[in-house]
Amino acid sequence: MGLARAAEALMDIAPMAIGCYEIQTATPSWRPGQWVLEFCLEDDFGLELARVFIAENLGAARAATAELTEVPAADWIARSLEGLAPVRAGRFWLHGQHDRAQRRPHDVALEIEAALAFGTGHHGTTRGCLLMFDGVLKRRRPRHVLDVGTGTGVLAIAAAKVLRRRVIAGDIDPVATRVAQANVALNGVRPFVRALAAAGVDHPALRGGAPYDLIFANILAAPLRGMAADLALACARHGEIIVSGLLAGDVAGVLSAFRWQGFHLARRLDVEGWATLLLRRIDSSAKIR
Amino acid sequence: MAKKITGYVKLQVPAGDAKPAPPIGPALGQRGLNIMEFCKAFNARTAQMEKGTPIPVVITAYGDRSFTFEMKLPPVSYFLKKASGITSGAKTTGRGFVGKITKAQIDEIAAKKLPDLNCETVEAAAAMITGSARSMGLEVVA
Repeated sequence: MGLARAAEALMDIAPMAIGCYEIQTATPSWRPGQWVLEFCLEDDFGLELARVFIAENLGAARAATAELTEVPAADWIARSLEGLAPVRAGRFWLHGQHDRAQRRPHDVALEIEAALAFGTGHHGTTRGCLLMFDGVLKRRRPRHVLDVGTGTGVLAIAAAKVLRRRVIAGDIDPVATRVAQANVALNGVRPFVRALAAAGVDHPALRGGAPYDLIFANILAAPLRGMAADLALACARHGEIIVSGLLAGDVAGVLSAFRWQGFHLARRLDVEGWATLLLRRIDSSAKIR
Repeated sequence: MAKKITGYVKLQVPAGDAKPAPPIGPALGQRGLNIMEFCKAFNARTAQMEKGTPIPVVITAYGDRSFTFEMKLPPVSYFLKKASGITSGAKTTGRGFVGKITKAQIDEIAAKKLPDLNCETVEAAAAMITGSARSMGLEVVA
């Protein structure tokens, strides 16, 4: 990232935007891949002057290999919305405000904007959780649902829309919690969903709602391993836990942590390289704190 | 939620006046980030600031096209332009001056920007700002 830092320093010389992006976003590991550095210079620079500018500030070699193009004027809002198409996951249909009119009566429509919290449906982890939940709904209708690491609140909202039952949703990020609360209201499930700031299940309201017969935990491998015991305690005797946020290489470690708590793998779904697991309790002894 | 970072964008956006025009439009639109949601959130957070003050913003983009952003203090160039009275800096360095700035003005800017800079003393900050001033085509005078 040395080049990125040098480029960032140029912000003080010329007004522009600097972007730094991973070329291939669907990666099989957490290691960073190849990144591209992008400058957005003002109109009056011109391509040749832009190359001189890069040569003087970042070196002749980089200027020689830099790709320079004029970006034509465009309807940038329309361009940005092109990448935010609706997403289908089983019976669920996720969309932004711009696609509200396309809702069909038989869909369970969830309106979620791609904004300040994770969980828009444009990622394999969220879609994996919704597909797994869709599968659970074909067998049973959970009565007490917890969503840990709720982000936009998408999974809690999906559960509330289908089950019309009380759902508790927590996120360690207070910004995400506010976004979730707004989405809960927008989707008309305020009587059912309570979204609050909580680290894992460490909150009286989350612990007080236990035991849950369905828990969503779409987080990351390391925190999931660390939270396995707490999630097991919060899970009902015949309950299930849907975990996601795992790359293929993370699955064994997470499974091991939950097996230690008396769970086994009931089903695995892989979406765009991300694994979603349905974990079910092996024994019949309820553990309720 | 599982946040996989896919990119960063650094922009300068006028306080209270983010709109879907360059540089926000091309920088975010080409990557499919939700421009209007960013503009709404940025304008709300900068509503109490002096309108038009350039605010550096670092946007972190995630794998599902959601994002977060962090705002910083106005850049050194903003303070240098304001102190010297120029509207834009030189496009290339070392090819003549476009304005003048005094050492006292540099010291004043250094004191303001010290918390933001990668140095510990006002003198070191002033040296960095002097470098920025020269890069912009400003002649530093006593």
